[in-house]
Amino acid sequence: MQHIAWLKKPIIKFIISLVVVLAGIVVIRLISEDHTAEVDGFIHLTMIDLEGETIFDEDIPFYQGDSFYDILDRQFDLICATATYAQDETCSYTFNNFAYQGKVILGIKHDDVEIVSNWSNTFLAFYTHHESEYVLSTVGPSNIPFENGDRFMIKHEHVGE
Amino acid sequence: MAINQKTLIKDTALIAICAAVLLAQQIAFSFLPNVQLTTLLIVIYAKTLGFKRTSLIVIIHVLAYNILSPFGAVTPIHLPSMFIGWMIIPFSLATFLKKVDSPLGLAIFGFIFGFIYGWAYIPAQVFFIGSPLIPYLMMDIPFEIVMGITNFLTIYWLYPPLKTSFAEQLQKFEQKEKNDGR
Repeated sequence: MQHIAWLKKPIIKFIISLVVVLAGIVVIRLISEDHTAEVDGFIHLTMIDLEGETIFDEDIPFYQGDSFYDILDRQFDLICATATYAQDETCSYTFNNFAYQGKVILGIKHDDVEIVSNWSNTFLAFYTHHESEYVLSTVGPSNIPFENGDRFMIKHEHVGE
Repeated sequence: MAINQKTLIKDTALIAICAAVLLAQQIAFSFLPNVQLTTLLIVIYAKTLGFKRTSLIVIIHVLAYNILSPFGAVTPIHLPSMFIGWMIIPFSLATFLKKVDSPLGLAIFGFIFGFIYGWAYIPAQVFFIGSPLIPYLMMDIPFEIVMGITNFLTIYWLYPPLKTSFAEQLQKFEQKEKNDGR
């Protein structure tokens, strides 16, 4: 086992560990994309309440540098989650750890339009139009990618629906 | 009491203690996504206790974690994925990786396992939850890398001392069992 004795030296172990960690960080950085608008445009948004009725179905504008959250924030009065998932109408808290980055939206209000999660057994499901159907978004509203003309649906749903 | 019965009781206690350690550390690390010592511990269990006893530990761990986790149970749809995911370790180490015992070899296995564990959730996520396959795969990559790196580092650095210590304790435990049987 002489030929692998050098692998047991702490300095070699440290260097190998460091290379693995750095390689991981580089790969994560490379595949992490910035999902903000490069040009101005429109997206189509549909919102559906708990009863399944469409309460909003319009094109809404976005501007260069907007995230999907920014589009909603400009158009509607939003209720976001604080760090402890309490309701916050100022939307001042932004989750900023590795797994949860950006805003968590608990409710959306606009004129007579209102869908608000009770954060117990209902939630707002964000769907993106993919090929010919709406599919659940795999990221939160701050990180949803979009382009001019894309269609989205926000649905107030019961947990387990 | 017959020796076999004593052995059975001691085995049961050993499996319960190992499962408890596994559960406690996983809950302790739950606030850090995919950072855990679970892979390291299952590797040590598989290498010292063998396939059967490690499988029982994994079954208990998966059920207990889903019932007792303070962060909420994993949905029943994900339960088979979680079980299959963790069972890959004892299965691999009892079959085609049986001869691998170096920290570096096991650390590389741990790194690759980080990805395989993530993929175990794909069928449930795509067919039952309705997530699109490719975006889901892409979004999961950073989490798989984090788990892979955690597995690599913990196994590479902690496997030799922990395995030695665990094997010594196990030997004492089994020696006492033999002495009690006289």
